[in-house]
Amino acid sequence: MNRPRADLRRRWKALLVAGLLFVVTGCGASEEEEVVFVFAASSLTDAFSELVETYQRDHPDISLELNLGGSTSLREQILDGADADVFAAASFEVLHELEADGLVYESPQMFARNSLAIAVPSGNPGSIRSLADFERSELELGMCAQIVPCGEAAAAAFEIANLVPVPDTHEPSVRALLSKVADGELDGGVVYESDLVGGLASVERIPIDESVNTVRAYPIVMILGSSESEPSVNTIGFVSYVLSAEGQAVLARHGFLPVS
Amino acid sequence: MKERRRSGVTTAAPWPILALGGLGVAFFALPLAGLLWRVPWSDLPRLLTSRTVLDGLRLSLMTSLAAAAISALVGIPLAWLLARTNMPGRTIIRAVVTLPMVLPPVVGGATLLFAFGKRGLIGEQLESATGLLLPFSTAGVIVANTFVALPFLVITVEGALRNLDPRYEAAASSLGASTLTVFRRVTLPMIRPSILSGVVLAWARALGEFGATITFAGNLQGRTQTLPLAVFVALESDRDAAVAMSLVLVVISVLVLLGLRDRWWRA
Repeated sequence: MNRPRADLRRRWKALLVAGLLFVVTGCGASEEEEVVFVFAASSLTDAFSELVETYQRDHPDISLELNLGGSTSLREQILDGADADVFAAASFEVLHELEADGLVYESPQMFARNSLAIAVPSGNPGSIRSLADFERSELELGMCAQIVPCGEAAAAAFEIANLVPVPDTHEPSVRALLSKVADGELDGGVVYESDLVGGLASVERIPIDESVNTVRAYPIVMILGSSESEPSVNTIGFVSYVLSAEGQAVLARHGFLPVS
Repeated sequence: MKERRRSGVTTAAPWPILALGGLGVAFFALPLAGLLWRVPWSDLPRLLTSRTVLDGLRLSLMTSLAAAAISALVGIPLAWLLARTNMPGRTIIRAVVTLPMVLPPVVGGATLLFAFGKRGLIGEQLESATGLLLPFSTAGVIVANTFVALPFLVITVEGALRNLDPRYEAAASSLGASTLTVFRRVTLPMIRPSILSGVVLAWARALGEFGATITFAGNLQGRTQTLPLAVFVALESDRDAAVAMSLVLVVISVLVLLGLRDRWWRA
């Protein structure tokens, strides 16, 4: 009776030690291997997932790590010392503080453009036709929070159109807004064109008139760590891939407008 | 008084216990110190009197107190049912009731949407019956808060009921008191300290609620943007404001926990 139990205990111990070793060496290894950390704005989620995937298919020796989030929160992460090599943001303004801190290598380059559209649940239950319908208080309407670039862009569009919207919520991200529209909880929301490509079958797109629509430029930039004086070859390689015809084709497939 | 002192016998702590326990204290004290260190003290009055903070504070206090009240109203009877009756499926009911403690609040918020949302399970019926559309409303915030807070009250009160010597209640009923009278006149007064600590726990949980609220009720200043939501938004835009609001939350919570701990939690 005693023996198997002791055996079992020993096995547990071995397992524990193995686990610890795995954790310790695992941490060590990931620091030595060349990893390119790519930070990208939430609105680039699908496009950059594909870009990273295709690039890695052609360069199996390079490891790319994608970190997605709101542009401002990504910026804060970088300011707080997060490992970042590439930052694809949803606005140039977001980069100012990074540039001031000398974390940016050369100047940011525009790699994509995006414009706004209205997302409505399939069947358009609120009969939304234009931005003007966002003045109807009987509807449940959503926008992005002003801190998110899509919220800023929407606010600008309403101002150009001389409208006073009555939203019921300011969602902290485009995705959160879009999923509430897809669920039918919101009758409409202002989002990026690129957010309406491919993804959700239960969402319809209502175009916004060009005269009031705002077009946003997306910058890409290489980030320097505290010990780096210039970016690694792999970092440069990935950024030039995003700017290449091939990379641009991927972005276009995801609803982004070409750079020029 | 004497008994209390006896239970607090002091012995010299062995060093491993002291070291590990001290580590535990540091683990909680350091983030707090970090917060205090980041507070922009000179700018504090301006930051704390901004519209966003005042709206958030008002909403937070209002909705968390409402959630605590509803929790007490529903939670005490629920705890009694779980502790005192042989309802069929009691184990399953208890699991369902305490589920929100384990569930990520965001998931909780999503399930609330699936139930009470405009296209949810009973959302439409609820709206036509009461005219109340919960998502994106202050009432929705209270619902989300109650959802995550109620389990804390139920667990606390149920535990107290189980530890209560059944002879008191038996004596009362043997003297002719009805079950409801016994509950009201004997049971409730005897577990009063636990009820109060349960209410405080539920309130504290509701005050800090974030995930379920933003998922179910959305984020609109003055209507659904409680302080935790305002902090979340400000963390990405105005760090100083975020820190100031965090300080408010910490101060309120610490004051209440300090004030109540000695008086009520020592039952």
